Amino acid sequence: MTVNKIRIRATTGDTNIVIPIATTFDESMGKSDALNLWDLDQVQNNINPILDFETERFSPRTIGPNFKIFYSLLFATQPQPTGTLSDYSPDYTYVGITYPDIKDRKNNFIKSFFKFDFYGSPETTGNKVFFSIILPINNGTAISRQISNDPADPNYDSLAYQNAYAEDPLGAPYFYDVESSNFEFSSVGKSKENYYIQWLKNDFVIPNIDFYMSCKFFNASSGKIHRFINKPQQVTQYTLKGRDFFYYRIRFDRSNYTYKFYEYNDSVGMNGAEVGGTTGTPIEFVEYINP
Amino acid sequence: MSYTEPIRIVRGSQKYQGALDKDVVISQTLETTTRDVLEGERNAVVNLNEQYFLEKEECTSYRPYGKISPLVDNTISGDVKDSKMLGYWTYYYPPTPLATETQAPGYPAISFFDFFTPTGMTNLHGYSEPTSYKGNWKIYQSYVVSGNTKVNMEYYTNQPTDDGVGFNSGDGIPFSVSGVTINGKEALQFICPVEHGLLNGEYIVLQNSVTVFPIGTTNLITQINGSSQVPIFSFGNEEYGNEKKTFNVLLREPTAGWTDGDVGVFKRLSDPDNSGETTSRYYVHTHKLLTDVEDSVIDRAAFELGVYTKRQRYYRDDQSPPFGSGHTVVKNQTESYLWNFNKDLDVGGYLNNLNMPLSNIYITVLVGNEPRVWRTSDPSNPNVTTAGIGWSWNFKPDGYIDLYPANNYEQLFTPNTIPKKGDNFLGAFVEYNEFELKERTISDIFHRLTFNSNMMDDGGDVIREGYFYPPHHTIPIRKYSQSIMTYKDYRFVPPHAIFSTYDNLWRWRTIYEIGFFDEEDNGVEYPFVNGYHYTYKNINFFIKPELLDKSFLTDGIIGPLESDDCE
Repeated sequence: MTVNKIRIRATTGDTNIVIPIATTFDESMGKSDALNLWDLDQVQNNINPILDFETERFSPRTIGPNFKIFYSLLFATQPQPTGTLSDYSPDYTYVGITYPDIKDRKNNFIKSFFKFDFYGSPETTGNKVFFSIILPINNGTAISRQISNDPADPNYDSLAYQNAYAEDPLGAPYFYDVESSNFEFSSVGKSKENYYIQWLKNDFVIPNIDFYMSCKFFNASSGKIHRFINKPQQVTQYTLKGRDFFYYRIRFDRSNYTYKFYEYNDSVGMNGAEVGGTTGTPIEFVEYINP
Repeated sequence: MSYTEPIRIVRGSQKYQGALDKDVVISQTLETTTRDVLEGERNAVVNLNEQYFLEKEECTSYRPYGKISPLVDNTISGDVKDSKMLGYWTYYYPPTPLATETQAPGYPAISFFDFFTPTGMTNLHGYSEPTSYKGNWKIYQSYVVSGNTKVNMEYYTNQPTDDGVGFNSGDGIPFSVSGVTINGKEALQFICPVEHGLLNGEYIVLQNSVTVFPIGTTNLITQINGSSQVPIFSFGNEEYGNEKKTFNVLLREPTAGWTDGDVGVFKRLSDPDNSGETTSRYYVHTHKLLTDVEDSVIDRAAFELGVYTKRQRYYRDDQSPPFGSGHTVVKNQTESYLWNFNKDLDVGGYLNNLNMPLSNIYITVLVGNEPRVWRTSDPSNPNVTTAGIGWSWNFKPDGYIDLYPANNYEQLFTPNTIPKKGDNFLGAFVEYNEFELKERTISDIFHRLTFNSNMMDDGGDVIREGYFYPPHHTIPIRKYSQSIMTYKDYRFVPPHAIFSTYDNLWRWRTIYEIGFFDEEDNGVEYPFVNGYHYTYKNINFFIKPELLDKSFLTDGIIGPLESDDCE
């Protein structure tokens, strides 16, 4: 190896030594590689963009024990709005589905259902449904109702009455349990249906984490669709502001795949408290009464 | 830039007096500061198939999912002492105990083995509905991060006298010997509890280290014919089908240095001229958990039940101690569950114990023991592990026993401490031959469960019998080629190539593309959508009873009835 004998003498003025180093490669190679990467990226974006449509199971993270979630879907008992919550009931009789229909699992009961639509925004115009949940009504919690022996009563059930009478002739009035339109969902058993919500795992396709849930009831007894709102109408109040009456807000948390429901209306400033975690604070919808 | 000075061209004879004319050439060089763009650089070929293939091959993200069915024969009974377990979750045997009893013999309900726990099943069961599918078992993802050569092992050859050999996992494969005559020649027969992995023409290297020692009255064999390196003569004996566990070595001095039943440990050597690279290494896998228990999702596979008959019985109030509450108990039933993970797995940054890209990921199932029906640590004895470990030769009920629970290497303290991401657990006992670039599983690892004597005991003693299960379940994500590639220049070999000083070449096995099979099962194929690989695994999760020296049938299926259920 040839070695130059270079002696560097220190002077008071010089503080830098510049040593030129020759390069034997083409610096433009890096640019070429970058172009190739850009090329690959453009091809991928244009002919085969990868969009992740995988869904994940989101579970409610409510305030109650065992993270149960409660819905209370109430039918109007009065023909006109009263503004009073007590004038609504979780009883299908008010929409033409009688106790014998429920007990005998008639078609008008088992083919009726609630439908929750989840909108991307609370605006009533230009809005669109991102997903829906069908809620079969045979999953409702049981309520005790008197067995009617009155032919004029729509809930008249002579057979059940005779059976009860045969069992205990002195026990009248007699009662049986029928499903109500109150619902309690948990992570185990029959009540697991609709407890979990399947939604997009990642936010690449739809970045929204907030959706606005409305409720409708499809009545197989009458063929009607009953619209539900989040609070009782006041007297003669038929024109409703959608943002104020139609929705509960659901928020998905992709960090732990959970969701929570919140009140959403004018009186809570569109930023209401969490609901659904206890029987005292269910997700409550009441039937809209048409004029 | 133009030349600024004026240029005059004159003939030579006019330059000065006497000058001659001559040809003058002014060369004009053409320098370019740009480069023509080639055709291939101006146009990109857009081919969807190629693009999909490229993305699939380069993707390292996985979403494993599948089904798991716990399969157990619920055969071990005991005296149940926990009142809640006794009242509702015990299959009484013999049946019809008095309702006033506070303790009764029977089998634990199948729910103690199932993935789903319907309610709190013992007084110590900290039950909650959202975690009810993870009470008995916890599911994780894991990969093999390293090999452990220091795991203590024991191999017992004779149960009554407890003769055997103790060794470390790095020492090799244990054996016992027996003198035989083959074609008139004296030979020594080596009997192994596992497949020896030897081939024709190969050698064994007998081990003689401080970690290898005889147990009981046996002697340790460290040399044969005066050498620790011995050629194999033949395989098997007069019994059918044991060639993979038995081999023979010819003796020069038939009676020297050994007696029947002596023990030892050997390593496999395929080429004595290259003993450094062809002597197998032995170790136990160490698995690192890649997920937390919250990352797994377990749910029922609809209404799927196994093929085995459901066995259940209803007990009336007067047959149901200690609460006198009539109830039904299921003793045997097989249900199926679906599993997946809500955290995606990117294996791009991981290398396995051999510094190679991952070819397998594992689904690791660990006992959760929330009902505490299995022995676990408590304040008085905090070092007791929930599940000990054992190997395929430890749990044989026909005589070869393991002194469990002396071998507590597995520090599993559920339910008091729940394993989390990053925790390490031992895995399979394997052999690796550096020249062959191949790892062979000698024995899977098993976890052994012992009944908690506070819940069930055997007349006041701990129930010796228990259950064992395999914790790690392989999901192959890539396969390596059967053939070995070689090349001399390091610049053209993959990063996982190994340099052989013997033949002075880099050696490696090629990683096959997804979808390519070189034979029936050497290859992988799984869907690639959403930018992820979806690998499916159907796990038959066998929970087997370890019955030791007890009669296998304790259920009275054939024996005479002690009482009629209808009475």
